[in-house]
Amino acid sequence: MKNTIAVKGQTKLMTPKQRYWKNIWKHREFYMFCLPGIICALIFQYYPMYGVLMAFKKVGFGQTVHEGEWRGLDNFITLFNQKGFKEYLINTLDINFTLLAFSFPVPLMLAVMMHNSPSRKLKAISQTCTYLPHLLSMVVVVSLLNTLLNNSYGLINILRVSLGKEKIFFFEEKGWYKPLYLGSSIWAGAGYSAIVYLASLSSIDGSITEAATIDGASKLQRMWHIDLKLIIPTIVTMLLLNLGKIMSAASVEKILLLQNQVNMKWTETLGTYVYRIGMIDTQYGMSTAVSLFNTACNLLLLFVSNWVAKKVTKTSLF
Amino acid sequence: MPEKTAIQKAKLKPVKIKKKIGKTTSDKITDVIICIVLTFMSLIAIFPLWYTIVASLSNPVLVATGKVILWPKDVTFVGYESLFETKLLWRGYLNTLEYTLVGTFLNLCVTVPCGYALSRKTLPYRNLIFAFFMVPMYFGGGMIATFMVISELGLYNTFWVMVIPHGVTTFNMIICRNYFDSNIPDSLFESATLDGASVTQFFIKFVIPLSKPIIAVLTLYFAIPKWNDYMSGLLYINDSKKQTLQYIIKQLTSTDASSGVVDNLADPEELREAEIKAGIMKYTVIIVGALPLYILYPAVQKYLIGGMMVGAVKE
Repeated sequence: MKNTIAVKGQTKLMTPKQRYWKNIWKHREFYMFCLPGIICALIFQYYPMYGVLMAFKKVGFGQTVHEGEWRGLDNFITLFNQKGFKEYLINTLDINFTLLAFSFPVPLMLAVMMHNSPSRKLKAISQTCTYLPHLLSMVVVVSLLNTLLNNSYGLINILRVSLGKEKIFFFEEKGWYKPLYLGSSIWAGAGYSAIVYLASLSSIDGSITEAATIDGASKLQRMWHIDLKLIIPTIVTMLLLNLGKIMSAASVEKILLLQNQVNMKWTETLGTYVYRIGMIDTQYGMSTAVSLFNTACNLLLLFVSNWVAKKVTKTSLF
Repeated sequence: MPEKTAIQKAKLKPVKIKKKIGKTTSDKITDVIICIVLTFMSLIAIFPLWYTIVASLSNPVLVATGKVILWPKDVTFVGYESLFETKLLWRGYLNTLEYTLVGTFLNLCVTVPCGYALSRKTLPYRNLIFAFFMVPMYFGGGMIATFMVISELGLYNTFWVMVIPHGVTTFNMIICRNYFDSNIPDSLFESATLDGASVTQFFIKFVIPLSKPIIAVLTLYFAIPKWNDYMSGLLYINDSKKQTLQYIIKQLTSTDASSGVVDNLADPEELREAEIKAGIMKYTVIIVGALPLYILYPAVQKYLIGGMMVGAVKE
């Protein structure tokens, strides 16, 4: 406030335009602070956006974006008519929606339980324990799966054999892929995701819970009607953030690590397909077309779900 | 007025009231269920980690026959010894350490000043700059376009590709901005600038010393993904001397790698032995790869969770 008054007093004769530039000049050092970040974002995030043009061109190995020959929508037409495309699209939707359906409620449930835990010690211990797997890298998580479930030296199969049951080939059987993927994702991520909900649960006014207790609400009722209801904005925000990347939530990194020659058919998603035809087959144009399609689906879903959330719960991302 | 006094009474003597009402049976059942579920979840979270440690320390033959589950038996360090001879792993360790240290430092240099500038409410076009950083969260050129930019800049297969921040991590910047927003009072800035300090002087003399907690949180948030990064090594590095730890762990533990060795051995007993040895080696690789973060964890635990809270509460 002081500053603006001082400026006004000094510069009565300034036109609005001059005042505007003076104000910007006053903040020059702040803009300098932003500059490194802006440059990084321009080079590594905005400049690649120009490369999206490759989706409408034929670009091969050793060619740059401008050298490619325009092909209009040919890449997309070839893509949609390709034999594997429908399969990959279904795989992508399948794994991502199942992932959302299972891995979204678990941290929420965990957080509400921790918040209502009768003993503080148990809360602290379970929070630490469930958080620990989050520190592991995707490579280590998959290596753990590979090692524990291996068919010759993995713990599970050793125990099965000693109980006289048959070995399970976890990585080669279609039915086991999703449980493995979901199980390990929840195992590694639930404790971490629960923290956000715990933070917003801890900001609930204690007197509300107390009043409900006096009025005779049981603990279960309090968990449902107070805890869950009052953190709905946080839940909706997290849900929207998850929906905004629905086509790519199942990480490419993890699927690539889990893939082998046998399970390729049911594990390949659009995300890993981008890697395969782009980095390995060097069909840059086609690969960019796939990733553009993927991003477009994400954006569409984000806008639709944001709009719905705004109408229904009055909470939204933008 | 009477309502208020009732609430005040309840607040003053919560213990007494609770005792009066007592816990109903259904509440007790709920408590027991919560305890059981939390204990069960904690055990599930911990068991695979514990088993890996146990298996890496036990006699491989006992592990392979399922006699080792909860406690190491016939303790041996064979796995660790053979790991010390694997030069590739240590090369990767050193590389990743360099990438993580330098990369985290550069990331901090970019993010902290920017987060501070964006926390100033008087900054013209503040929201525009903020939106500029938000857009890439939802829309990007994709894997190939980014790859081509990196090779165009001559960064492919160099030290710098692993170190220069690939754009700005928007989430971390939000945390940083929120912290400054609520922890550096405007009056401090005004009195300092009235005394003739420039913005940069103020930032160095006042803001940085006051921002130790947020720098700790950001260090972790930048360092952990960098240490765990697999894709960058896969995409941008093709020289095994520059390769990252995670990529090397993947090579050492992948099933394909061990089956290659196994195929060459015709004798079934030798084959079994090779498999067992490959197995114990994997346990030790996993431990060694994850160890640094677990050593760091107790020291930084409060910051990690605190950081999430800062980011979540104000968003």
